Amino acid sequence: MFFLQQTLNGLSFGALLFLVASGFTLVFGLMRISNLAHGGFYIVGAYVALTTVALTANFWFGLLAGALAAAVVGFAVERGLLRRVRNREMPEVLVTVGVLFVIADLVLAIFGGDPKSVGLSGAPRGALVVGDFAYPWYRLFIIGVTLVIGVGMFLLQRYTRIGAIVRAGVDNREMTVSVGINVDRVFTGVFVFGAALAGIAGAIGSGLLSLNPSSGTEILLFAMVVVIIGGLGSIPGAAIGAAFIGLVDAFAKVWLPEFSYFTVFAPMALVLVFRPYGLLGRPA
Amino acid sequence: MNRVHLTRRQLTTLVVVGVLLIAAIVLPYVATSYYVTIATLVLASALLASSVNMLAGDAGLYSLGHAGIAAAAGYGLAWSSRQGMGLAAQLGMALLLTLIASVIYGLISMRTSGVFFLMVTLAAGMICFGMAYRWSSVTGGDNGLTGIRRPELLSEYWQYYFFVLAVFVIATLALRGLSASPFGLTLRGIRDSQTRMRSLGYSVPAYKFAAMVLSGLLAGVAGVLLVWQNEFVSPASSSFQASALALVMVVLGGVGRTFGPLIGATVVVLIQQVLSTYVDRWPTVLGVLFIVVVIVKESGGVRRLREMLQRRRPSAPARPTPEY
Amino acid sequence: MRSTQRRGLRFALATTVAVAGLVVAGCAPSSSLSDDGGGGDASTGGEVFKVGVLAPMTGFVSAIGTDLKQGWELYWEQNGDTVGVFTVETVLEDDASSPDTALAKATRLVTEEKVDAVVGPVLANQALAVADYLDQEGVVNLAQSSADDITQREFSPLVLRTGALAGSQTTFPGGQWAYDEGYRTAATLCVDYAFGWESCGGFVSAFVDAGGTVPLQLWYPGDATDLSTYVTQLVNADVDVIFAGTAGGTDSSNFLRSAADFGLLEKTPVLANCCTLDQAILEDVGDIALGIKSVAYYAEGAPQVADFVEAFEAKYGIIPSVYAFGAYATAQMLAATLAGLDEKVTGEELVAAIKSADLSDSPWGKVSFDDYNNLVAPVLVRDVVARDDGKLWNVEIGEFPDVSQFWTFDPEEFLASPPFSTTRTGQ
Repeated sequence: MFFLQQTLNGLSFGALLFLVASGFTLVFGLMRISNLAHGGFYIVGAYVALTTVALTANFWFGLLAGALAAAVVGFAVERGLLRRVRNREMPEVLVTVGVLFVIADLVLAIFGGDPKSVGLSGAPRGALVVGDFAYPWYRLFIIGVTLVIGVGMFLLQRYTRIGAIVRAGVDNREMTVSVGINVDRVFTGVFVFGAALAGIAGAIGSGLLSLNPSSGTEILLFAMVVVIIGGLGSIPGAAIGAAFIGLVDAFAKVWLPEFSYFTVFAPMALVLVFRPYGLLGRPA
Repeated sequence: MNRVHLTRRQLTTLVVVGVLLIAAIVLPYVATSYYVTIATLVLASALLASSVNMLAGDAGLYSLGHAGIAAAAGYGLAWSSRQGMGLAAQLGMALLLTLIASVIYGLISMRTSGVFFLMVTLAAGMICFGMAYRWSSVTGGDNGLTGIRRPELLSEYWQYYFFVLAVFVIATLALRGLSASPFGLTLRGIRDSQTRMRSLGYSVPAYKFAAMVLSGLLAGVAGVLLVWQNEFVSPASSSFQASALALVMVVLGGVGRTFGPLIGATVVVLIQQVLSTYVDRWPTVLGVLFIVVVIVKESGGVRRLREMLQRRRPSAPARPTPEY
Repeated sequence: MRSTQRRGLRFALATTVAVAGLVVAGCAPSSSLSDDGGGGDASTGGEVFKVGVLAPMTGFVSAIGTDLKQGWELYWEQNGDTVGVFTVETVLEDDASSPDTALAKATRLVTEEKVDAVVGPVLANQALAVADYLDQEGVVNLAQSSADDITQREFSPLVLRTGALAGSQTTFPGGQWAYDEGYRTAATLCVDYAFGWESCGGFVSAFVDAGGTVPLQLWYPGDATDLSTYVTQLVNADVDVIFAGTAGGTDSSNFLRSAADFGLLEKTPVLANCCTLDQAILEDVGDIALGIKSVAYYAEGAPQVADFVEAFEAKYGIIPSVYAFGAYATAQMLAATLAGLDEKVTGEELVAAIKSADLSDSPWGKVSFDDYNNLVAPVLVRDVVARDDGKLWNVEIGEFPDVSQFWTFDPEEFLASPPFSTTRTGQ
C-alpha cells in the first residue's frame, strides 16, 4: 500500500510536470526556442488563478483566468520581444532569461512573497478511502485532468490540420514555409498555447504545492529535465519523461534522500551527452 | 627600424585603458572603504564573467553553470581552511576541486553545443549546488562555512583590492593572449563551423574539453577571490542565479569583447548593491536592461549607432559587430 | 611586425602596472576613508543613535523581510523615536535573502552609514556571516536569527540574540510536553539543514531524556516542492506523536496540506515548531490547521503581546508573525536600554548596558540574558483556534518559563559536543 501511494505521488507530481513540460517541448521542438520564461508563465497563471478564486470562490474560473493571463503574457513576449530576435538561438534564450527575471520580480511586487495557494473551493477535496488505503482526490484529479489534456493534444496533433502543420513545422521548418503556410502565425499560436498550458499547470499546481515567486524557477528546472529526457517536440516523450522524473523524485526521496539533485539532473546530463535528442525526439 | 604605427582606434583604446588603470589605482585613496569593497567585488565577478566570456566569445559556447566550478574552488579553500591547513594546502585543495569540476564539466559537455551546451552546463551547475546544499557535514549545508580568513598580507580591504586588481589585469592579458593564439583561432573556427573544422582534421570535442578546463581554471581563481572577499562561502555561490548573473554580465558587456565582462560586472554589481538601496524593484531594472541590450544588439542597433557617429568621421573603418 | 609591437606595448603596460602596484601596495590610504565609529549629533539637540536594519525585502523570504520591517517600525511609531537623550535613526537595507548581499550591505551600514548597531539579518547563513563581520568591526549585532550557534559555538561578545530564541531552545520544551502528555514513541519530520536539525534535535533530546523513543526520523530537502512522499511514510508509521519542524515557507504549507490530504492529522497527534503554524502559513492553509499544537516563543493570542498584536493589526490589517514580533521586541529592548543611559556607548559597553537594562516591560514576558548573550525566556505550547472574526491564530495552552538554550543540560558539555545534525540527533 505504501508502494502504491508513493507511485501515485510520483505520478501526480509527474502529471503536473507534464503540463508544464508539454508547453515547453512544443515550443522547443517547433521554434527551437528554449523558453526559460516558461517558468514565469507558470507563476503568472498561478497568481492570477489565486486572485480569481479569492474573488469568485470558483476553482474553474480561477483555472480559466490563469490560463488566459498566461496566454496573454505569452503573446506579448512572443510578439513584442522574441520576434525581434527570431532565428537567433542564443539571443532568444537570453531574452527569455530576462523575461523570467522581470516576471518573478513583478509578481513579488504585486502579490508579496508569502506562500500562497489556490483555495480549493470547487475542486475535489478529501481522500479516496478504500479500507486502509487513503489517497487525496485532488492528486487523482490532477492525474485525470492531465490525461485528458494529454490525449487531447495528441489527437489534435494527429488528426487535425493545425496538428499536421505543427508536426510539419517540427519535422522540417523550411519545407513548411516554402509550401506557403504562414509559419509566423503558427509559431505565435503554438507559443501562446504553450503559455496557456503553463498557466493551467500553475493554477492546478498551486493547489498542490503552494506558491512563491521562486516557484517559477523551480518548476522550470524540472520541466527542462523532463523535456531533455523525453525529447524535443515530442508530446509522448514529455509524458514518459514526466512520469519517469515524478517517480524518480518520489522514490529517491524515500531511498536516497541525500541525492535528490543527482537523481534528477544526472539522468538529464547523461541523456544530453549520449542521446541529445532525448528518448523520442528527432533532430531538426 | 619601424615606427610604432597605431590606428586611431588602437590609440583610443590604449588611452582609455591607461586612464582606467590610473583611476583603478587611485581609487582607494579617494573613495571610502565601502566603494573600494564594491570595486573589489566588481573585479572578482568580472573575473568569473571573463571565464564565461572566454567560452562564449571564442568558442560560441554559453555556459549557465560556471558558478558551480567557482564554488567548488571556494569550498575547497574554505573547507581546508577550517581544517587548519596551511595556505599552500588550501590553494592546492581549491585547485584540485577546480580541476575535478572542470574535467567533469568538460567531459559531459564536449560533444554538445548551442542550447544543449547551455542545458548541460545548467545541469552540472545544479548538481554542484545540490552537493553544496546536501553534503552538510562537509559543506555546512545551507549555513555555509564562515570564518575563512585571507592571508595576512591581504587582510586590509585596500590591500586585497590591489591584489584582486593585479590578478584581474594579469588574467585579462592572458585571455587576450589565448584568444590571439592558434588555440584561440581554432576555437573560433569551431564556433563558426564545427563540420568544417572536423573535415580539416581537428578533434572538435578535444578542443572544447581543453577550453572548458582552461575556462574552469579561471572560474576557480574567481571562486577563491570571492571567498576571500566575503570570508565565507555558501550554496548560494553555486546557484542558478549566480551562474545566470555571470552570463548576464557577459552579454551586457558584449560577448567576446576584452572588457565586456568588466563593463557587465560593473553594471550588474552597481545595480545589485548600490541601486538596491534606493530602488526596490532593482531586479526588474536589471531584467529589462538585459532584454533591451540583447534585442538592440541583435537588431544591429549598436552598428547603426556607430554608423551615425562615424558619419562625421568617414576615415575610421567600421568594426563589424561580433556574431553570437 | 605590428603584432610584435603591440605585444611589446602590452608587455610594457603590464610591467608598469606591476611596478606601480608594488609601490602603491606599500602605502595605505588615509584612515579617514576606512570605517570610523559613531554617528553625529542630531541638530534638534540630543544624540543620534543610528541603527542599521538588514531585512530580506526581495528574494525568496521577502515576506519575512516585510514582517520584520513592519514590526520594527511599529514600535518607533507608537513610542516616538526620542528615547531619553537619544534620537533613534533607522537605516533599512535589503539583503535580498542572500548572504553575499547581506554582507555587502552590512559593510555599507558600518562604513558609510556608521551605524551603532545592526539588527538582523534573519536567515542563518546570512546571520553567521554578518555576525562574523560585525565582530571584526566592533559593531553590536542584535541578532534576529534562530541559528543555535550564534550564541553557542560561534559566540561573539558583540552579538546579542534579541529577536528570537535558538532553534533547539524552542523545541526542547516540546519533547518534555509530549512525554508529559503520555506519548512514548515519536516520529519526526524536519527540513534537512541546520534549522531543521536544531528543531528536531531539541525535541528529540528532551523527549528521549524524559524516557521516550524515536524510531523514525525523516529529513526533507529545503527546496522540496512536494512532501507527500514523507507524509505517506508518516501515515504508515506506528507512533504516538509526530513532530514536524518545517522552515516556515512553502514547505510548511505543503506539509500541512499533504498531512490533511493523507489523513495524517486524524490519525496521529502532530506537534509542530513555531514556523509551521506561523501567521503567513495559517492564512494560506486555513481551517486544516485548526487544533494543531506547536511550541514557540510567541503566540498571537497570548496576553503578554495583546497590545502589540492589536496595534499591529490596526496599522497593517494583518496579525503579526513571529518575525514582526522579534523586531518589535528588539526595538523595545533597545529603547529600554537607551532610556537608562546619559551618553552613547557602543561595542561591548552597549552589550553590557542592554544586558543590565530593565526589561520588565518586554513583550517576551519574563526575560533575561545568559552568559552567552542569548535570552532565557518563556516558551509557549500553543493551539490553533479561530477568533471571533473567523481568523485563525495561536493561543497559549501551556508555558515553560525560563527556558535556557541548554535546557537542563550542562552548557560546557553541550558545547563540547558537535552541533545538531542528521548524525547527532539528540538520541
